Formats: sequence, C-alpha cells, structure tokens
Amino acid sequence: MSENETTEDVAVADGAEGEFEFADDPTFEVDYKGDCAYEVKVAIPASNTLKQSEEMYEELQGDAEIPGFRRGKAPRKLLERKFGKAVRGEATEKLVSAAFRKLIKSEDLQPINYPDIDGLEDVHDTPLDAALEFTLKFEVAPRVELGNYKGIKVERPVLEIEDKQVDEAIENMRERFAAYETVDDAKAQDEDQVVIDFTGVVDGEEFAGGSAENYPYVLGSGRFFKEFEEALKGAKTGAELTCDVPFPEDYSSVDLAGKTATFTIKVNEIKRKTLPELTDDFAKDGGFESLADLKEKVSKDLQQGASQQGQQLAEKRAVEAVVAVSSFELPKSMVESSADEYYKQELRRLLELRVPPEEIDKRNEDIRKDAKEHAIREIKAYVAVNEIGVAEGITVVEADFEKEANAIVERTGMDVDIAHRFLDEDDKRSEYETRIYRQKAVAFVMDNAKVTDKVVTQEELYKEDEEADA
Amino acid sequence: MSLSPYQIIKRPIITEEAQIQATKGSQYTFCVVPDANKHQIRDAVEAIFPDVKVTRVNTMNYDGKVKRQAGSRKVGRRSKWKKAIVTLRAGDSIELI
Repeated sequence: MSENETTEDVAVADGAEGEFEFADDPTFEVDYKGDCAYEVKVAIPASNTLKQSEEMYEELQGDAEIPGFRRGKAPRKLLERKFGKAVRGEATEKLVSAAFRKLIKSEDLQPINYPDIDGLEDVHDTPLDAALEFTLKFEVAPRVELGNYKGIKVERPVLEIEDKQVDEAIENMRERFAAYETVDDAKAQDEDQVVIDFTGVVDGEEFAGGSAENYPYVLGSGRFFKEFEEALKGAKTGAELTCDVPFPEDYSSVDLAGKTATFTIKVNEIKRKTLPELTDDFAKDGGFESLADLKEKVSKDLQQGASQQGQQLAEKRAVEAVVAVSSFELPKSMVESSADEYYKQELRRLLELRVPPEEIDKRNEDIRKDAKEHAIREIKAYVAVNEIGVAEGITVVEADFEKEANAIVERTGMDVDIAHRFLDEDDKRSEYETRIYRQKAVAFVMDNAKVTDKVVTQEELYKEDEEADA
Repeated sequence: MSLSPYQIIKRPIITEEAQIQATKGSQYTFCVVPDANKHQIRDAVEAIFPDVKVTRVNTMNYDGKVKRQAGSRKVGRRSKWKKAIVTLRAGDSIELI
C-alpha cells in the first residue's frame, strides 16, 4: 500500500471552500454495511436548492454576456432559459458535496473515496421545490481494534559470521577483480575467454546474428549452443575449425528452427582468467589498509548486514504478532485495488522468469488468492502500526529528521548539508515523516516486546527471510 | 400562394432595446419575411397570439451585409430581411422569453 492512499485527501480537497451554510439542515439516515462501507440516505430540503440557485443567478446576472444585451443587462428570465440546466446541476452538486462534508464532520468519519451518488440521475426532471433525496455510498479508512501489543514475544534470528563466510566474500571480490591475460600456445578450457571470428551458414546462406568478428566469448558461460562450445574446447590460438549446430524445433527464430547451421570459427586469441593474489597490495587497491584490515572490515560489514536482516525479521514478526491479536475492518475497495497491484506485480515477475503463459493461466486463481492475502496482510500491518503510533502519541520532531539526515550521511557518504537539503524538499519531508513515524511506532513495539535471540546459520536466515516474504 | 403566420413571422428579436419597448409601450419586435406587408404581419401576430389585438405595425427593410471570404476576393451578401415593430392594444402583452 502506498502512502498517498491515506484518508484525508477527499475531505481536505472539499473543505477548502469553507463552511457551507444550509438554509435548512439536511437529514441523514446512516446505514453501516460492515467492512468500512457506509450507505447514507440524505434528504436536502428544497429551500436549499432555491437559495443556492438564487445565489448563482445573481452571480451570473452580473457578468453574463448575451447577444443583444450589454454585459450584465440580460433579463433574469432569459438567463434561466439559457443556463437553467447548468445552474441546477451545479447547485445540486454543491449541495451534495456540502451535505457529504457535513455528514463526515458530524459523524466523524474518514472517507477514503468520493462517494457514489445514487438517485440524482433525473434531477433535471424533478420540480425545483422538491427536496433532494439521494443515497451516498462510500468507504472509510480501515479500522483496527488493537490487541495487547506490549510484551509480545518475538524470536530474533542472529547470525554469527564465521571465517568461512568472510573467506567466501573475499573470494567473490577476487572474482570481481579477475583479469584476463592472453596465453599463447595453450588449449582453450572452461572459464577461458576466447576471441573468435565466426560465420554461421544455414542452407548455404549466412543468417542474421550468425556471424561476428573478434567476438569475446567466455567458455562455459553457456550463452552459445553446447556444440559450439564443445568445438572450441581444446582449440589453440590460430586454430580454424567448423562445427554443426542443430537448432531446436522450438527455436525462437522460426526461419532457423529445426535446421542445422554450420559454423566456421577462427580462434584469434585465448585469454586465461587470473585471480589477483591475496596480498596487502590487493587490499590497498580496494581501498583498505592491509589484508588484515580488509578481512576485518568485510567481517564487520557481513555482521552488520546479518544483524540488520535479523532485526528486520524480528520487527516484521512483532508487527505480525500485533496484527494477530488485533481485529480489523478493511474497506473492500482498498483491499481489491491493492490486491490487484500485487497480482500485476506477480504476473510481471513470472513473465520475467519466462514462465509459459499456459502455466500462468493454470495458476491464475492461486496467484489472485495469494495477492489478496498479501494485500490484506500488508494493509493490516500498515494500519496496526499507524494505530500504535496514535495510541502512544508518537510524533516526529526535528531531532528525528536530524537523526535521519545523519543516517543518510553515514550510509551514502553524502555531504551533511546536502542530506539536510534533501530531507527538506517538500515531498521528501512528508515521505520521511511517515517513514520515521512508523519506524518509531515499530521501535516502540520492539522496546516493549520480549525478544529472544536465536542463533541461526546463513541458510536458515535466508529461509526465514523468504518465509516472511511469502 | 398565401403564407402561414409562422412563415411570415420568422422569430422575435430579443435585445435590450426590444425589451425596453415591450415594457414601456407594448411594442414587440419581430424579424419577418421581406415580402410581407403590414396587414399580413398584423394578421399573423394575431393568429399566433390569439389574445392580443394589434393596433399598429411599423416596418423597416434591412439590406444584407456584404461579406468577404477570408483569404479570397469572393464577395457575398447576407439575405435581406424586414424588421417589424408591432404595437399592441394597451394592456395586451406577449411572453417572448
């Protein structure tokens, strides 16, 4: 759920006109349908319609320009004939929205959408002196009855970083800094980079994308067909070879599917991957003081990442636990639009993973169901955290922004002043305000929770993380 | 061929001036066919508004304005028309708007 879906928008936008004065107050018949849905029967006495249209005509008369009359001199009757419909419609609209504002004020509601209005379709055919009667249908912000959110039991996974993981990370670093060096008189093997010219021929003709010159290809990367790779293995610099590659029947290019291509390949160069030696020099290239320093910093980074992950998991669980002991009423439209969002996201993800469409079709129902559950869970968590904030009187003060700015500086190495200016931008400010607010609310729950630490392995941490996201 | 009342009286002319004449002197202004004479206009008004009696008809002919086509030298003319100011018997009135 996104931040701007919050509740005040509708009310604030309408309230800008200031208080509306009714000649005779409208009457409301409030009917709560459950799930945050309201149906309110409204009757606005005719005196309001008359008064409202009177005012509008007066305004119109002042500056209406009608051919044959100087500005402001047109007779009232002519205006009524010309603008009657528009005035009626506008007056009605004004009255309806004024009535809606009055309703939410007197009933203290937080609508999340503009109401559906029923029963005003034929307003132009009804006499002016009949009362306006219509039904407003709208939903209000989710409601939550918080359970006891103090003293919740949470297990926090703690990962002790071992030397093995540090070594692995450093090994990865070496891989990243790997250099390819030309070797003469060697046979190409896996992980070598070969620079090749090749020409592919199908049915005696070259085909698009089948030829290249000085193309660097890493053996074993599997980007080309395996017959192609096989042929290259063991080849020496300067070797010229040919190989046949049968394209599969379902190859993406229809012209080539099922045919056999003959490639002529010339090996120009063989480069072998060499990893940098683990020495102080290597550490210095990476901006560290020495190898020991590198090891220590990597270990610290890993530890920090792991404990952050553990903390986040614990916070997530804490919020879930609060959700579990609380009861909610969620507006359907909110759940549905959010579920739709997640559903689309999931579809996009599956398409990116190249899951065949038939497969997706088959699982469609499940995906929808999961998306809905996901949406409900997210909204509940969101609402619960906000409600805790309200219940505990949490406010975001300047010092919090200060802290956030420092955190940004720490994280990104940004200049302090720039960080401050970044936070002071209007939209960023309100964005961070909500974020900090929620962080503080979650922190409150954590401070009051009984947190137990449980030592886990890397794999277990990954697994738990995935489960939490599922 | 005689013209029907609605063919003679084409439309009322509703302007500020006509408005003033209507309220001050029971005089109503219409656009009428140029061929119609005062008798025909009187009869037509009395046929369309059965409750009124016409005491006097003043007419005036307007020539159509010359209009030029934008961007070319073509010259045309709007049709000519006749304005009729009809005076009613004192106390009679017509609702035009």
